[in-house]
Amino acid sequence: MKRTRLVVLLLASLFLAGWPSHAQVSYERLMGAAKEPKNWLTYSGRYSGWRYSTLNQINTGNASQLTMQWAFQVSDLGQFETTALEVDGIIYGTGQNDRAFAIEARTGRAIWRYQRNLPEKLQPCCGMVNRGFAMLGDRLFMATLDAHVIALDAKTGNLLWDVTAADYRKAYTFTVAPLAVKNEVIVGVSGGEYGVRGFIDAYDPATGRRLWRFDTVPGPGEPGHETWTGDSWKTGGSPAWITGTYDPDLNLIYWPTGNPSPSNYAGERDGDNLYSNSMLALDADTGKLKWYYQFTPHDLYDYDATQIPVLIDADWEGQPRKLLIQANRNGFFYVLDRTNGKFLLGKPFGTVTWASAIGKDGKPIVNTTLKANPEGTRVCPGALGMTNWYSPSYNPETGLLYVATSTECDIFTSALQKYRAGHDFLGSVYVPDPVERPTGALKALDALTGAEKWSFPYFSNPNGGALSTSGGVVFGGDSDGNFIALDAKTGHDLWHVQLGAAVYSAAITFEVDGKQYVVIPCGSALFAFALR
Amino acid sequence: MIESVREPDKQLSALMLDPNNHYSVPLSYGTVTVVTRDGERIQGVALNEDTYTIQMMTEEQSLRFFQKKDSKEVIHEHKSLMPAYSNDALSAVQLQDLIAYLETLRGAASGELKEGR
Repeated sequence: MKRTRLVVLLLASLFLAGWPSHAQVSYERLMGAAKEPKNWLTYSGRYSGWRYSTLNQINTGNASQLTMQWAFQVSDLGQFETTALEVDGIIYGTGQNDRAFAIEARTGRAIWRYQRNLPEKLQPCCGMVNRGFAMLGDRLFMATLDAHVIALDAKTGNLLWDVTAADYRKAYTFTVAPLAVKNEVIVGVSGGEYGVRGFIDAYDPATGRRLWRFDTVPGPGEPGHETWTGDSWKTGGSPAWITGTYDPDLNLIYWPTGNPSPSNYAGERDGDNLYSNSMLALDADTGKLKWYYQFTPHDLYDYDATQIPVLIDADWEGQPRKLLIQANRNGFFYVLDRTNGKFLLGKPFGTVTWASAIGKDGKPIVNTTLKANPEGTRVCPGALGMTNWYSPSYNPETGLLYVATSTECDIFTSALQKYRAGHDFLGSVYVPDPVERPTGALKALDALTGAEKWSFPYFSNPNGGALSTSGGVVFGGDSDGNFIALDAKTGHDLWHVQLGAAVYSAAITFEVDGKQYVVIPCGSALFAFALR
Repeated sequence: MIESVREPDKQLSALMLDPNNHYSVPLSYGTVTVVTRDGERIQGVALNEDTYTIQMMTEEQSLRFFQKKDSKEVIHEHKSLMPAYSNDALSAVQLQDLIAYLETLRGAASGELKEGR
């Protein structure tokens, strides 16, 4: 008996010493993610959406010595948009075509791989992408391109449950990384280019049972339904395809929504088209709407508001306030009171022509002479926005929000298009302005005023987001393959490496065995960098 | 503008007659001038370019590569290095024939292997 126990203990100790320990991510750990910078537990690193780490081993003095430690090949092509999680020495990520993997964080060696068996006819608008897992307990949660939500065993990658959220044949898809809050897994749907009716769902992590749904286009009898004409609400879009953030004290989830459908023809959807292009504050337990703020009512230009809502506490006009800041695709930087949705500030962070300003009432003062027509109208920003879904980063030490931006303006046309289930539903074409080559920049905006503090130019308009750290470094990636480290205070170029493909995500950072790593997806691989 | 996208032959003929029509010149055929630190100006077409580097074909058909940090300036101009074909040089019928001929050209894309190789 004693001998048996000894053998068991010996085997257990060998297992623990030679292999990264299997992690359990509790809700308490997620709430306290800021206190354990050695890990990257959730999409934006912490519930507040900062994508910031207090790690400082890599800093402005030594970032020039960053060296690749390993590369992990996902073995698939297309845009690699995941934000990987790192938990106690193991990286969990998703890839193109709904692949997934777990790898040892020190070496990049695979522990397991998962590949979803997808139906042939899928129609995501913008690539067969997935933006990552959420983790809760010992489970990983993934929202799939065929509009399912699934749970995997974090230790083995085995499928634990699989539920259907919507009908992929009607072009409902998921690309979002879920958000785990309390005992819920929250997801938002994609499909705004196909006339879906958007929603945000919460699921039971144990069983996959749906706990609540918030329809982002109100049905008959619901407040906001009057902002749609006729049956336009049935195909009103307003998807919710980027991961929201969460305030545990207020018990509110902040989840942004996308464009109304059709995105560029509004002739049959008069009105504000709620809750398209809005910030929604939902009760985390019930999914009930606490407040909303609509950035771009009655949108004509595809200005999804699907940019990460960043939660900060700061003095506003001499009073401490709980704020929500967002650099929006429509070209304005916003400050809202996140307790009630009150509009506090709207300031352009580049060239904007669709509206001259945001009025004191929080509504845009729209330039009505620019309405899209069959001949074509030039509007700034273009349909892909002054920024887009790729994550910004907020650094509390500099008080700056780092945002990847584009100068692209587009020529919009607009025409009636009849809805056909499962087919694109845009009501237009748009092309980049042929006169001016669009460029990009990583900009540092004052988080309370929106004033630009510095701008680092990118040759092309970007698709990659930002990560900032306590080492005074901000990491970005351009569309021409460069992964870049800048001085967070000045924008001074510290280091870059050419990775050979457009960067379509934002970096994460973590620490294993006393070494800080920075990991970025690019092309078909995950690359890890650290000091020599 | 939209018409030129829908009807490429119109775009092609417009390009030949007036290469510097802003709505005809594809941005990738614009002129790039690199000014080196010692003041030399090298003009050509960018074959590739990113935030830090540029790879170009000069007017003399030579390949030149530059690190932007080692250059004084990189100037992008939305004008073509191709000469314009005026009505004197090319009649309407000749232009039509030339466009028709160009549209028959369907060579393998760069780097594409031909069948059987």
